[in-house]
Amino acid sequence: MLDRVTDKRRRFVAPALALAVLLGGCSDDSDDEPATPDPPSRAGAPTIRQQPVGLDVKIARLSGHLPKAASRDLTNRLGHVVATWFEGGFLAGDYPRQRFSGYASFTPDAARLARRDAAVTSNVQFGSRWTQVVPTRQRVRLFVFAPGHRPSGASADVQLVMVGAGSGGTASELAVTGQLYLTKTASGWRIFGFDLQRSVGEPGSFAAHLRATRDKQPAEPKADDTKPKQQQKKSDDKQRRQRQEARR
Amino acid sequence: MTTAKFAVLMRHARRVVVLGVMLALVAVVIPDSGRQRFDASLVKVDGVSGLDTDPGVVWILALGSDARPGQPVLSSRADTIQLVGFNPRTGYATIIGVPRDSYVDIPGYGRNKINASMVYGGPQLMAESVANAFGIAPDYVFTTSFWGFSRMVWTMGGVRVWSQHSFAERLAKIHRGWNQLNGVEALVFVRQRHQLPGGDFDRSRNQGRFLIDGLRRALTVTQDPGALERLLYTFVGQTDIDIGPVELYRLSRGVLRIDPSKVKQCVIGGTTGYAGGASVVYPNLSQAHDIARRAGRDGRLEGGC
Repeated sequence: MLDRVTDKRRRFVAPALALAVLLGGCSDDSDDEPATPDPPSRAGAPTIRQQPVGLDVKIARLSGHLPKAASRDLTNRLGHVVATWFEGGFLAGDYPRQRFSGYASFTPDAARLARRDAAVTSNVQFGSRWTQVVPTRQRVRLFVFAPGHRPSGASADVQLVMVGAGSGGTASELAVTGQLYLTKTASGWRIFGFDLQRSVGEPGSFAAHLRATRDKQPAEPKADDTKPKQQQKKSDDKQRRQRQEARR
Repeated sequence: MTTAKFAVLMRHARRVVVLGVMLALVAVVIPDSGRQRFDASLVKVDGVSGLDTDPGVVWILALGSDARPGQPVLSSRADTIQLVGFNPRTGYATIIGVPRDSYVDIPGYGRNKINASMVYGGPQLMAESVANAFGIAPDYVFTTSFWGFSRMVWTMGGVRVWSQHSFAERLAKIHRGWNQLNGVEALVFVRQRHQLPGGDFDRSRNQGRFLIDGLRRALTVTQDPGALERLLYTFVGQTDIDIGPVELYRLSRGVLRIDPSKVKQCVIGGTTGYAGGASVVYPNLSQAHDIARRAGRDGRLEGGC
């Protein structure tokens, strides 16, 4: 699986690098740049009109039992862990820049792996070309494993979407989606694994993609749901009979 | 839409996007073009994954207890003895089947069938016997009962299993080829030996085969967000797992990194005979040590059994 993913990344990196080099060269050498920009790094950049959207964290499913207060506390803790990555890897700090340090909430080994894939796990690829970034979606849905009233692991389904303004009036949208895997460590909750995808498009692309996906969903029921209830009941009865016989 | 068609469409889409990006690039570098936005639709352009796990091979000793209702699961003989070694970073895995009648040295108890270790000292002694005889020290021992096994299969919505042989019992009919099995039928599949030409060896092969097909099924049912957490919660209540939930969660995430197409299966060979009036298997220990050495590097077993 990793090999296949690495190949995909290689295919993308070549044109993206060419794009980065040419775009960078274009803006740096441009005679149209004002002589005394204020602030210098944002000269000529369009102002993104969209309002920044805040973090939206919820427990989507709790496998186990937790008191309400503990559940709220857990939501805050896990939300903070994910937000630390969102901010450090993409949203916080001044643009343009090339350095991102978003892995404070990862385990050391996971941070090392994430750094290796910095093109997806941070905004290092567009950071030097963007002058402004505005988050338009920060959605985190948590799926918690809590046997014996003890939250022990969780996966976070994340959707981080942002619009970036580049010098020369370009605007583009970056969406990072996928799963983060979190667990308790001696230093608190940490991200110990990830399966992430990155998409780039024009502003509004992700919302259009979500609408299209939602429209498709009723036409593609899950395999388990396609079994008629009558047939399911028959199968359950059969298993019940088999289990009774097996016990004898 | 078929997978092939979808792949062709995706390749086409990628080409279109690259072309679109190049056009956008041209638009940016040519001053009078008037185009100032990326002209690309939303596509997946990149994907990465990583997991903080043990960099080496993790060995799990999977045991199916022979305990009948009311008998203690952890101190009854084991019908199923499978060693699963995997490397979460590479996705490679090797499954080694140990015939349950293997006649070996049990530390502190002399020579006996390996599954007697469970009666003398539970999973811990079983792990020691396996390490002593075959040169593989399991990191974890996973023990389940008949009922626990059936429930696990039932929770996953059944498992589609390949069988090399046909056989029929009161509770299940197994055909040569693919079989969709529920929990009870799966139990029949992994326990049957009398109707198999290779007896205990074929049974062990079926158990390994079931683990591979079960893994494939587990990968499917855990694709949805939250599915693993839900499954684990169910399993915790049905299976004897001698590790904490945090470790269990991390281990499970590691197991899901196994690529079924990178799994090799072997059954330790041997000769049958009698010891103290009981039918036993004298395992081929040099073969076992050789497999352990090769698979122990990164989970990959090259060169076959």
